[in-house]
Amino acid sequence: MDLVLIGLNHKTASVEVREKLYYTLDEVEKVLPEIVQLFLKEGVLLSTCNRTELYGVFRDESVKCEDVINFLISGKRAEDIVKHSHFYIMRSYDAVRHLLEVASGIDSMLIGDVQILGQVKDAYEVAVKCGVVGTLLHEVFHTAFRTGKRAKTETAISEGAVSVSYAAVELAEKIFADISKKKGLLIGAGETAELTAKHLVSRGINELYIANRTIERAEKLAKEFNGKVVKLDEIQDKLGEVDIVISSVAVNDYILNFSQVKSAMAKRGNKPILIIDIGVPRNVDPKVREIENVFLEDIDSLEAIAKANYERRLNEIPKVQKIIDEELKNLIKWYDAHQVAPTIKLLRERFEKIRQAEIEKYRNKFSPEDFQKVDALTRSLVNKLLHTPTVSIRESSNGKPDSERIKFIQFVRELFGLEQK
Amino acid sequence: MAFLVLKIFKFLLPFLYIATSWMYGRAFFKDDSLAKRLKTKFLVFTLTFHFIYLIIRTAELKHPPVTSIFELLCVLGFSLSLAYILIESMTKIKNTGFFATLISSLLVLIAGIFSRDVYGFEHDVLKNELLALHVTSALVGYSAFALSAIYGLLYIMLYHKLRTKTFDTVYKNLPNLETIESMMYKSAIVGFVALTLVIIFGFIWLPRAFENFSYTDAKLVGTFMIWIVYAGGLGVKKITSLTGKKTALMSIIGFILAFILMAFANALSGFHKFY
Repeated sequence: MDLVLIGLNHKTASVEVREKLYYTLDEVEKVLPEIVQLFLKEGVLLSTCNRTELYGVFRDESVKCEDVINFLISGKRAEDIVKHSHFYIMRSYDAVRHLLEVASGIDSMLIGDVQILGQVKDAYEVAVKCGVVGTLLHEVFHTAFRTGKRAKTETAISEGAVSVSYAAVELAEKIFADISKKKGLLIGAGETAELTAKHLVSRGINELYIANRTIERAEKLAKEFNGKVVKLDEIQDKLGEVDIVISSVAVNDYILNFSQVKSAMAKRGNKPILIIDIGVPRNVDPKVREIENVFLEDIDSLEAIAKANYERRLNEIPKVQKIIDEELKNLIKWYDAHQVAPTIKLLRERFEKIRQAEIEKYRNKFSPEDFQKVDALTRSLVNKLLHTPTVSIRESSNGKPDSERIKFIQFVRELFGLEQK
Repeated sequence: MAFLVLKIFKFLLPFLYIATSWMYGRAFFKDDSLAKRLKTKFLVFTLTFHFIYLIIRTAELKHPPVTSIFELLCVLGFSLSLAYILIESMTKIKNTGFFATLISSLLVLIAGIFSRDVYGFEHDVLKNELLALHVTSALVGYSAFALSAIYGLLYIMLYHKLRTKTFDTVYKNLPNLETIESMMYKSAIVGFVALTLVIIFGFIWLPRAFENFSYTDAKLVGTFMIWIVYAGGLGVKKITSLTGKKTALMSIIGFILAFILMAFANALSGFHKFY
């Protein structure tokens, strides 16, 4: 297989290097036709914050990988930072395997990252739009999409929250059956707290109250999350009403103490409440945990959940590898079927079958001697008819790239109905 | 010949339940992928096997398997696992079959050891259609109480794991607290309604069927006490809108009480006793 992969990722290059060589989809749309024109028969450029990889088939033997790398670097004017040593080069099935690993999320920085499959699809679609995708890359990338989808549905590679903010949502979903019937209270602000609130909103939380020392900040967040602003001294009242509390305030004293929560629990009929305290120092008196039906969790809990989930993902890698092996095998089968020899064999078999079926019909109408003559005659006729197509098929591989040959053979297969059912 | 087949089935049945329970356990505690894939198929097989056994037994011995306490335990084991598999197929709660199949294993094992394979009805009073209603209600009722207690146990487990920050495999495999609580409550309601029917059918049938009938018989008193326990529990929950850990504890205690009361009642009962 002529496929070549030239790229760098989070394993070979630091973020300073990767960001220099990052191409947005718009940029890819501009630069990819140029790259293809200079070096390739067909190509796809995949660029995300963790990788920039060019998949393609070289125009001819004179093309050097170094030239392509130089072009990629100089295109971004990154000569001082990006070096050749940051790049890896893979060929043929190694390149395909790598793409399948990328698409299934096991080559990601965060194993099981769900975004990457979409990014691979985007990169492919841009290349299609540029008209630089041939038969080979079409098949290779569709194999990658299938692999990514299978990995996601057949294994647990992207299951479970692996970020702290999602872990908080997962925790809430372990207590409550339906977040959209629950109310939340966000006290203070901070990156994790805000992200958690955002996830809860996206899960359709019924109501979100926001309390903050600076009222402007609260109003801004309320607008962002479609929530309601409450004053800090109203928290106690709201506690009887809300089911999920996220607290992240920088104060030295407890925002919620034992007696406050205790009386709030009586007010709410002792219904379970989840309090997530991510403030440092802690915002909620740890003694609150002793109250029945109160679930007080802190940043350590969230980190423990994220860590446990991540370890579970790591254990899924062998299963994903198995899917990759299967898909790669299928691709190899497809590729081999589009080689010259099997196609010629199939074509001849097909004609021979027709010939035999036809003369069989007339067997009784001829004497055995005549039948032998007819048999020889038809055989030679078929051979003559097949001579030119056979030569053309054989020549399709002479010094021509995979894509052209595959395209031609696919055409032949369709023309003579050679596709195996 | 048929009798021999019956003996083989009877011998194999407890092992099938134990194997099924072991698989559910592997899936629940260890996340074993093979067990996860096969457990439900295994349970379906075991239940089918059990069903065929009950049919053959009824045909061969010429009486339904409800004429002695041990025959009943065997059917109770069947109905409990059947109820569980129906819940598994209807809800998202998939990984909690360990406890249901474990209790079934125990019931079927006890039944297998103690039940006798006698031809025909030992007691003529049991040839009665009201018996069918009485016994079916009892089976549904006690299966439901057992399920309610299982959910109670799961609730306590998850509650404990959340409070002690133990986010392990079992934590991952449990459904959420609210769902468990709702299943626990619904099961208890079903059990309570069924037990009410048991008592109603019993009151119609028993005085007519038994000459030595007595309202003060241990089994009648025992059943009524269980009814009072659940009526009280459900009533308290309804009135005080009790929720959370306490209701889970109540469900477990209710079932344990029912179990103890029934064990005593069976031992002490006069006319209402069939071994």
